[in-house]
Amino acid sequence: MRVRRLFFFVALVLITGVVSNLLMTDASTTRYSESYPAAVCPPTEANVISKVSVPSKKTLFRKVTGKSTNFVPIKSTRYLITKYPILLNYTGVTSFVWQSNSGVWAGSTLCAAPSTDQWFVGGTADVIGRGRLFLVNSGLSEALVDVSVWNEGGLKSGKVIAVSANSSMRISLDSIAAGSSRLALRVTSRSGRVNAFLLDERGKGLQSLGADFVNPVDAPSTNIVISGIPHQIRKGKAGAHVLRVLTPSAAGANIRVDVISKDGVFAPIGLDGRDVPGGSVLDFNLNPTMPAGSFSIRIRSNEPIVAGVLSSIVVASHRDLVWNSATPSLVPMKLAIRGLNPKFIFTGDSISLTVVVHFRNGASRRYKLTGNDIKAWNVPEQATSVTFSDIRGKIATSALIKSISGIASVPIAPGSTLARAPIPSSDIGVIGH
Amino acid sequence: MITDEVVSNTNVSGANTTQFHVTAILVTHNGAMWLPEVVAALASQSRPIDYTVAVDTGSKDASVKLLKRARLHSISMPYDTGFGEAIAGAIKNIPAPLGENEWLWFIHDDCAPESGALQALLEAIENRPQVAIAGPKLRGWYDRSHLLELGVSIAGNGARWTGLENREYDQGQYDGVREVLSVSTAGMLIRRDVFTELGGFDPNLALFRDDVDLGWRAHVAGHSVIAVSQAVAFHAEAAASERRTIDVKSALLHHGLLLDRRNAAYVLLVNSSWWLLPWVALQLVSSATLRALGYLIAKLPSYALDEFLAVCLLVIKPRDVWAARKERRKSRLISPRVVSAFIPPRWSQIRLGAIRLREAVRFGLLPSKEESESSLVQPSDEDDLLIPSSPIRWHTFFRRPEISGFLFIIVLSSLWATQRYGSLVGGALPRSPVGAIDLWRKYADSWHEIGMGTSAATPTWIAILALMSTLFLGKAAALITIVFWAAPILSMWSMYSLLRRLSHNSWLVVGGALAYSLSPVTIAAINSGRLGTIVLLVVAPRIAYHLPKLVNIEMVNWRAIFGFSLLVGVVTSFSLFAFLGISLIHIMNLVRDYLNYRAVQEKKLFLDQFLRRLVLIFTPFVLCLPWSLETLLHPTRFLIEPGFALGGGGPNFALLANPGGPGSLPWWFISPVSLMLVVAMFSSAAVRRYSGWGLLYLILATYLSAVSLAGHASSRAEHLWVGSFLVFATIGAMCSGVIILDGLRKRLVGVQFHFRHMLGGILIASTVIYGLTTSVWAVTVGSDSPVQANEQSILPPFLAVSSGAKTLVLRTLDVSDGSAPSFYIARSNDAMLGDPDIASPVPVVVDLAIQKLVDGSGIGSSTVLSAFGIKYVFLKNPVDTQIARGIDGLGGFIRNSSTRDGIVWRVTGISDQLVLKDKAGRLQALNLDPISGAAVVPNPGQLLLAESYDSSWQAIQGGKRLFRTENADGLTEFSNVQVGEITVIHDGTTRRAWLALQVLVLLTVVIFALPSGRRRREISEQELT
Repeated sequence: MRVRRLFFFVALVLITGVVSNLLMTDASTTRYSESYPAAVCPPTEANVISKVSVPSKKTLFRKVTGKSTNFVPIKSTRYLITKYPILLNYTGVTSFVWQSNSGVWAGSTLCAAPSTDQWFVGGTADVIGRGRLFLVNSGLSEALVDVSVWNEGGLKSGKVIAVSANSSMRISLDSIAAGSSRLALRVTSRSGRVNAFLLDERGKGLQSLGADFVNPVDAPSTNIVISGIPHQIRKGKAGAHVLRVLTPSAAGANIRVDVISKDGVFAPIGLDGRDVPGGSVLDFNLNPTMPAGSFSIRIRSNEPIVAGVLSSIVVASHRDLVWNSATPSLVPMKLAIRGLNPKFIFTGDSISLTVVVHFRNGASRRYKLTGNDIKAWNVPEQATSVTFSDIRGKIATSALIKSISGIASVPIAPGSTLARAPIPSSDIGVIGH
Repeated sequence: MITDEVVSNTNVSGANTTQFHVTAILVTHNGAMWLPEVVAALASQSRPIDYTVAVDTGSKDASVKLLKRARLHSISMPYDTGFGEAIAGAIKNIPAPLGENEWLWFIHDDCAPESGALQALLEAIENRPQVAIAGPKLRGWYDRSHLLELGVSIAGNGARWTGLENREYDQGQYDGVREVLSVSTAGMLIRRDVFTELGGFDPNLALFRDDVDLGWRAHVAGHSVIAVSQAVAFHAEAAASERRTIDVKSALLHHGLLLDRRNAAYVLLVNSSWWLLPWVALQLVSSATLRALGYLIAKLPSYALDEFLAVCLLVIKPRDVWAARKERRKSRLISPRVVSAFIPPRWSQIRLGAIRLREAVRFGLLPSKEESESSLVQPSDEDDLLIPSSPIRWHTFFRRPEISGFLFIIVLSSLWATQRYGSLVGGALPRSPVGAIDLWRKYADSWHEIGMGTSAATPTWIAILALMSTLFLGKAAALITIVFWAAPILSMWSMYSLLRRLSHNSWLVVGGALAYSLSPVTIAAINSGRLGTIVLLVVAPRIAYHLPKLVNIEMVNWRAIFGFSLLVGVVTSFSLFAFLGISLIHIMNLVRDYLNYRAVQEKKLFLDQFLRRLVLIFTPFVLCLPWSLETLLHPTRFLIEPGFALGGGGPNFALLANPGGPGSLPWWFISPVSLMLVVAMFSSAAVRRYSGWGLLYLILATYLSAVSLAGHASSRAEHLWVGSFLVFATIGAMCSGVIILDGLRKRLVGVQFHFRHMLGGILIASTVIYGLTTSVWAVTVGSDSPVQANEQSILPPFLAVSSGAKTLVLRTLDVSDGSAPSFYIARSNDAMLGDPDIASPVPVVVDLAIQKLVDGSGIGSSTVLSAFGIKYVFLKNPVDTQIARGIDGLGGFIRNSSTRDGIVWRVTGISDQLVLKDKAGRLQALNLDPISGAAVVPNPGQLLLAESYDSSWQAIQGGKRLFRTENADGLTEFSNVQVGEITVIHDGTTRRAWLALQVLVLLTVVIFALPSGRRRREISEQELT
């Protein structure tokens, strides 16, 4: 009897242990909220037409000026930005901004979420330079921004700029790097929601030499792909391309450049194992012999570098310039391209992806794109947005957009990435010990 | 009344007393019990009485018959005749006065003078012509050596003053002839002409205090009063000791005490100087109140009512007093101040009161030496010489298990607490306030400025801590430090007290108590700052001690029931979880009672049991009103211990009798508790009685620990802390273990080796190993516990000085696991003791705004925060730079500072406590005086108060209360505010009413738990004398 009782209670305790574990409710674990930070589109200057393609007329936006912080529906899928930068309530679709000075120049960039660190490789502040840096603070408190400038002589002293809440600022490149021919800038924000946009405009007297946005990269890298460099052959003469490189570290770098074209991959003479001294901005001429179209370059380096390619082109008998910036690997994303007819240049060892094109009439069409090294693909007419998916491997993608005013090359990257933040919990213990 | 001045102590024997004519007046009223001896005493006087007359006031016993049989001249008077009236009636029936030498001798029917009493009295007055009144030394009727009076006076508070200690024996220590204010009417000898001149006894004093009044009047008329110790009378004090009813017509409700108190007040009011009257009145009222309270505590409400009514009777009939004062003014020859020498000084009243209180306490608490040390053979000096003296061997002192065990735990506790010498904070324990007054204030306040503010009732344990802190000279922090240091010692002592009832083996008892004080639950409770569990650890063994008595609860008296309820009430105030655990026992007993009732159908028995168990269940709950009542609205709070939300370790820990959580023992320190409980179920019924309960609590604790709940003012769910139930399980295990091991050796020695040997060995070995390893752990790893002495404040100093300003504190509590940040709203200081228990959750709107603030999308967060009066955002170090950058970028936050403490932003916009919204919708901050709650309104409009809505918030302007509403955010608003001064207050009437009710309930329970007082008629004659 006693033995039976003993076993009963031992069993009872064991069952309790098992059942209580099965019934156990979880204690709180960290929960996260995911959201897309609002994206900022650059301001518009006088004589410039600026339009942004958005996915829907219901897309919420507000101007970055004044005291109003209310978002309102944009009511157009191709919104004309009159003066002030705008803040788009990001919904997972990246928007193009197309700016043009009719018949003079055209440039494009993506509306993007604020970034704490932006590197720009491009621009000049010499006699032909009319470039400017736009700083947009879409936050509601004052922002402090560090602008560091490198030129052919090395790192110039940095400048700290305060940008008022919910406002933008135009800074002429002359004012921060007067006389510099070759510029590279780094814009870091100490506080505030800051976006920087660099517009490189050049002119000789009254003659415009063109203009384009210099698209930023987040950080220097040892492996850079610059995709979709437009290559023109006009009257048998190939357009000029200049590769600009900056090694931020003092140690310098050894770089190797490969040109990737339909004709194959090759290293231009003089750029195969070239030493780049640290701190100075260097320009290298790129004059690949290849048919007209577009090509890409890949730069490998033993030290992190930043680089960009300046291409000179002629459109409708006027000159324009195109800044091609480092292109990140493509990730699944959606682009609003209403009113634009971009040509996507995919660069990668093996290209394989799916593109879904959405048309004005609501229809969509799926394209399976494959190839090696480089592949160009024109978006069909009347497309309003494209979605990239099923991306295999690393594919650097840029968009070449052409109009009668000029050509622009835009590296494709999400304007705003899904931010994951832990959800805080209330607990009086935070003021306890 | 005993005075220091002895007029004479010479023996005056031999004096000529024949010159005096003495008429004895014997007043009887139902005094047949004492009358024969009294009559005999009068008849046997050595100096014969010249004339004796008896007055019977309507006796219903054999008094009249006895008087007739004694052949005394008797007069009959009505049943309700007072003593003075009876005397007056007698005087009318005796021969005419003979001059100054005629004396009247008043004799009560319960007062028997010794044979030489009259002789001695007359001898004393022979050579003292100024003496008009003389009285004998009164001794007890039953104990004839008990000294009752040698003269009498009246204290300033109306007390009858004899100057004697309680139960003082007559050893001749006061012998002599003393001048006194008055003497008792029992045996009073008074000159007839003076008596007539004074107008006899005051007709308003039918009984009691008529003697003092007469003496007082005699003095102011220029006469003297003496007490003569050689004259002795034995007095039964039948009326004063309620041996007979008070039938005089002025005695309301026939209450002797009421008449006595009324008359005492009357005597003081009519005889005192006019300028002393206010002071006398104040003394009378205050002393009556105090005495009434005392009687209430002694559960004698009728006496308390008598005290109250006595004062009322005089207040409603002031004309009697004024008329009597007028009358006295006529016969007064000298100043009333002449009696001041006979009025006892206040210090002597206090001294005597203190002595009586001390004696009463000693008598109540300590048995007399005779009772405790009864020996048949009394040692003699010769015996001492024969017994060889044995020198004290100190090393044997330490061999006593009690001494060595407690010394060990004291040393261990001291080493364990090396990080806890100072103001403690950490784990579940909030910081202690500076003084006890802060705790009292927190308990009494109706509105608590914690978070967004709350009117929640403060838990009762705050009042207990406040009371104890007051005893610690207001040092609340010192009290907490001592509690945490002494917790192992006190819990061991408490357990020792319980276990020694179960075993006489000191080593076993001390070992069990030590194991209890080092049990996993004790260690976890102390290390993680569980104040509630610590109190339970100390008190629970006392509760367990009483629990077996409650099985047959009908045998338990009500005083014990309320005493036990009070004990459980203390535990309940600290831990409702423990209350649930204890109530479970009562409920199960109740079920058993019901089943018995169904079987035997004894309704009265069941009702007795039912009523007592209901009292046991509900009294602790009611004692904690209104806090406990509020908990009913949030039942999950029954499962949450006081302090910050801090989770337990879950079911696997609980199954090992370890509550787990921060500061607890690692799981592999397996205590013998669970093993002991299971093994004990294999043992005898006596053991199973304890182990059964222990196992039940262990299993319940295991299941409950699987539940996750959000703690006080926290939105994070944590595993329940089941320490309270594990305390009961541990007690069950220790009791079972002690009973099993007690005498085990004897039992096992005689039998062959079998599994019992193994089980016994395993139990002992596991206990010893656990004890040793745990001791080492406690003083090494365990001393670095979450609870530590720490004076550093969470808030930066400059925020701490902004009185009342709300600061949103963002902080990652556990940076090691990348957990989410936590937040709360601080008001100039850190959370203090009790704050977590009453703090309200952060409003949903603010919660959402903070969530967006952290993820960087809260562009409107600053607007929300300022609307709730939050002035600052403080990101405590270590700072998450992503959050800091997000706040920087959002706007509406201006960075104020970035120090090693963290980063502070000021929230832009109007974030004051009181904001005026004018008719144009403009907001304007108003300066609200923190003390008076006053503010000046410059424009008409609407007032926004950045405090959570509560119906007790009032805004008063021009003597009118403004209309109050709750806005969409749950804040308080007042509309139709005009230009001018306004006062914003939180009306604490409801809170005060609850507190009054709680005090009333507490007093009632305490009174019921205290020993009862006895009415005088219930005291035996032997005790009286």
